[in-house]
Amino acid sequence: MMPAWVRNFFFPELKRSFWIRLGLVSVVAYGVFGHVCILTRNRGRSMEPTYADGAFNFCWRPRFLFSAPQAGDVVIVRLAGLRVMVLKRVVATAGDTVEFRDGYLFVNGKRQEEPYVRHRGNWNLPPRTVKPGHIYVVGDNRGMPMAEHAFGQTPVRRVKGGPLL
Amino acid sequence: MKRRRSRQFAMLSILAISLAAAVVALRPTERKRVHKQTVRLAARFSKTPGEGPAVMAAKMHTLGDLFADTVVLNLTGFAGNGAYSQAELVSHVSRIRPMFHAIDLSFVDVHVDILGADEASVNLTARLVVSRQDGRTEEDIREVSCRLRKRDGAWRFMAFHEVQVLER
Repeated sequence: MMPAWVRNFFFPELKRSFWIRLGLVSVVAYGVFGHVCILTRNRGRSMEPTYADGAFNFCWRPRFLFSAPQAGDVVIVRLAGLRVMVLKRVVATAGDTVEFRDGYLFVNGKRQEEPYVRHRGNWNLPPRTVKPGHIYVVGDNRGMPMAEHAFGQTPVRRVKGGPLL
Repeated sequence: MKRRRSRQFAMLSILAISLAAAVVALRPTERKRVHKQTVRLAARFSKTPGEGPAVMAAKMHTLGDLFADTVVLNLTGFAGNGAYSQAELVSHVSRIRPMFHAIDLSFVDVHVDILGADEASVNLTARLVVSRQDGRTEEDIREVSCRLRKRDGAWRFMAFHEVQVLER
């Protein structure tokens, strides 16, 4: 014999209160998981080893609601919308000069300590200045060829949040 | 009796509202027609493994109907950027397709703007997955802005420009 609470949970009486509760839960779930904390799946290896290819995560939209992204933050950048987005790490902000020498990142001429980078390729990129209202983002996986790695500066308004986990 | 009538009235009202909502939601609009052209473009450009010559010929025959007389391509790192006639573009696509075992082009986050009676712009995320004949698979995702013009009652693509999301 099934306990009453189990029976009520799986086979509730279809009373008016049940439909109201179901409606409220649906609206709240849609609001939270559709706009505030969006379920995402990583595709690609550009953020390894920090974020593995195929791993699930959430895009926490309020992450940069009251503060601008800073160097070291991991951000989620939108393309045309929120269904496909790019996960990258901010390495420099507006006005900074970014450069790669033999795989090492230099910001404003100073070599950066990046504990999250495990593998380094022979990346070389001449210095460039980050435009106003922009941030410079790069993936953590510097072991892959530079030509295959999508990175660069992007407007801050494209940042739609950060990973929750 | 009165209660039964009011219940019938409520049921009829719900039915009428549902029907009206369905008509509004399903009626063809210019925005939907443009959106449908993006779906057609993706379907005709894509190639399923083992696609026969007849299917390919049919797809290429109808692919040209989606393009304006002149189509401009402007994609980062793409060697074939420039202006093409409708026939040239279809010819290029026909030559490229056999190089791949499978091609999967899909568009997501499609935003349509109707700019005038015969002009529209579409902003979308394009995802292209190609399987080469040697088994290697490559994936490319880009944000693309398209321009369409209406001719002979149909929306036709006249330009594809990549939106630079990350600028080195």
